[in-house]
Amino acid sequence: MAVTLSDIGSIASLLGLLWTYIQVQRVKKVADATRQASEETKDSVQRMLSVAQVAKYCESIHLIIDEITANELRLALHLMRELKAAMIELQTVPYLQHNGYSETLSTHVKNMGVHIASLQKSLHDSGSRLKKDKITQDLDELSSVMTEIQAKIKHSA
Amino acid sequence: MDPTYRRLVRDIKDKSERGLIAWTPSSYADTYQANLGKGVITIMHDLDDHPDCPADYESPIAALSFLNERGEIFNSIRCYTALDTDYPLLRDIYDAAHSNYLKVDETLQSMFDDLNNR
Repeated sequence: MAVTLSDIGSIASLLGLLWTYIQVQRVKKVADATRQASEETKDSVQRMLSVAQVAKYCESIHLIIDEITANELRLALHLMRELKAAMIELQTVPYLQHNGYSETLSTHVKNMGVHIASLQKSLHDSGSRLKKDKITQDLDELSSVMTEIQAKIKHSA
Repeated sequence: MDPTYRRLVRDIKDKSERGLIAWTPSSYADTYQANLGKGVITIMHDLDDHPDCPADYESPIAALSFLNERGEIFNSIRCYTALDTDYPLLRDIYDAAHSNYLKVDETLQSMFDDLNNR
């Protein structure tokens, strides 16, 4: 049976749909993990923070950077909202307050608020006016802060 | 505009023109941001046409937004035409922010000083 162009087109469409499904599931998994880490932070009786929780936040940050670079702005916006909520929760952890991270996290929370507004506006212009470098630079700085926190938790354990 | 905000906006304009607010480029074109108190303010001024925007999407040509410590916008003053009452105020704040960031006055003065010393 000869394979026609139409068959190839159908197969390509199916593969495209499958790829999109896989990507959405991947993002959903990270968003759910970020939300769960945030809930764990909130619910923790002793308000302690674990290395694993911080690692989840780092993963979320890197995924947002990837999605912005790939111009997947809706996904980036969704993830950034989750991450901002998580950072707000993180500000209340006594360990971080006592170790001088309150102001740094506060600055990043406010910056994320600005970036969220920028991303929302960008949905109307396909991202042509979004300054992606500015957002990724801020996220890189936040990632460094998270890495530093992770190292401190490990050494204090 | 609410009188409280009018007073605040005039103060922001005054302090911006005196170089007392540290404006930096934001994550959207033609926009600057600055930390103020516990929150953040952003000023946008845009007069260009944008063919990427849908024809039915109306965006302001100038906007001053106020964000709280959780990064939530709690108020925005927007102008859609140059004839809006608040437009001159917002335009002046943007111009001051732009000039401050680019250190225009400082650089011009140094050029004058250099020329005077030659």
